[in-house]
Amino acid sequence: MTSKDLKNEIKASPAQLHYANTLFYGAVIGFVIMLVTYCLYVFGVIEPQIPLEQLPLLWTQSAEHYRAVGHIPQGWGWLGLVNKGDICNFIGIVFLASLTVICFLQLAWNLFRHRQKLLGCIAVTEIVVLCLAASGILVSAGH
Amino acid sequence: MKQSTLITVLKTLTLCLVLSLGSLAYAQEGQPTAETAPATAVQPATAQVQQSQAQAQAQPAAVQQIDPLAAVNPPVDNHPWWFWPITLLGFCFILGIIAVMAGVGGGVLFVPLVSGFFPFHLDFVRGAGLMVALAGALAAGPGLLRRNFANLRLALPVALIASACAIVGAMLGLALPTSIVQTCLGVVIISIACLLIFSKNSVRPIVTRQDAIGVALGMNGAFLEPSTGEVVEWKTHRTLASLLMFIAIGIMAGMFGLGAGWANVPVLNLMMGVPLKVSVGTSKFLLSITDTSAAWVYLNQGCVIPLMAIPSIVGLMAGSIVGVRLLAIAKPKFIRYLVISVLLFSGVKALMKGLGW
Repeated sequence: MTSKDLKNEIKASPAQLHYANTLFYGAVIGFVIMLVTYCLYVFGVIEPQIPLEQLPLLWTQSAEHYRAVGHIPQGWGWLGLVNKGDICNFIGIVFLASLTVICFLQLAWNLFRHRQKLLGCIAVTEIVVLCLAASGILVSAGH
Repeated sequence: MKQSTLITVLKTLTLCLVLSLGSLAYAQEGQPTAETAPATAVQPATAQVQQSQAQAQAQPAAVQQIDPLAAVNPPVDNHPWWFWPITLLGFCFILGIIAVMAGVGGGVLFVPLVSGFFPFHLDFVRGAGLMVALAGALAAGPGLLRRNFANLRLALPVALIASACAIVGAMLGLALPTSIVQTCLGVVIISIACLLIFSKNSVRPIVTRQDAIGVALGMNGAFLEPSTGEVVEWKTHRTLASLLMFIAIGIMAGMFGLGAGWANVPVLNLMMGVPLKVSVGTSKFLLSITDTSAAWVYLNQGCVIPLMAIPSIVGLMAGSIVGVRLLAIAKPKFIRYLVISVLLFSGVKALMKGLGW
């Protein structure tokens, strides 16, 4: 490796820097949303789907039981209850969980633009995997 | 660090410790009686909560044989609703400090300790554990990528394998009976403690020849060592075997909600020959991808309760920030042995809980 190559190599690639910037701003936005919605929830500004005082009765039991008793929908069904204090917390949480997909979309575009086809294909496959996980299609049978 | 700052930090730690001891006392006391449970009907969901509580207490013993940790005689808690989130916030704050000083991720300590000493079901602990690990990775990722300590070319193929397998692990973990998952968790935690005792990471492993897969995937690079100003070049070997290891790592990360830094670093460093700094940086960044896929499965199945997950995230992140500051005056070796002891203890506790002892 020549000294010029080495100099370039120690610097993060433009694609890597784009990824880092998107991740940084996205994480900040996600954390802020998460904290605001949490405050609205615990200080009783928005009425929750499951009353706060009833949660200690539910979190000792399985998720299946929690969903059934608290009428918590599976998958993206929470969007229909987003006006509830506890459910609106998922806006921030889901935004944080979606951040990697957003970053990978940008990364795949950058990689293909710079003719890095193999890595580009890996990035696209990763997007498919993450979207599959997020879709709610993959549902476990429960305990 | 100034003495006054140190005193403030110690005061905060003591307060958190007092709060956390409340949870330990709960774990040792057993469960309070049903008569003391709050019983105000607020809305239909509330009525169903109470009805299900009564039904669960009247369940026959046959259900107990299927899953001893399931909803038979569920523990009834007479603490106010805000007690556990505040306790969790303090507990995770301490956990964050200890995790940073011991050089481990938060998830690996969070899941065994919270499942062992708090009243939450393992489903919710694993869901929160993944969110904690994910939040930590999202916060650290940008800095690591900018300094080139996390390498995208190295991370991409590894992340694809680990994240796909984490989905399988998450589905397995939610399908298997809780007692089996708890037993396996105990075994894994004890193994992690042994790994921490015996593994000797190499700061700069020697790789004489890069293998074909490593060359094809461009798994090489260089970084500037800030302490010496030296440029360190690196490349990988044993790439195929290492990539296969990430199948198991992904499954375990998803199944137990542990994060996977404890396994990523040894594989990247000792097997693939990546320098320790790049291994640690890439491993942390990898968690933001691996844990995302598993977290989605837990989120979609209602395993994330915001009331407990968000204080855990905030507590652990605040603790990590203080931990970094305390790192200058702490004795990392002592903290490391402390963490190994805690892991062994919580691993044995999880094992016993899983086996119903």
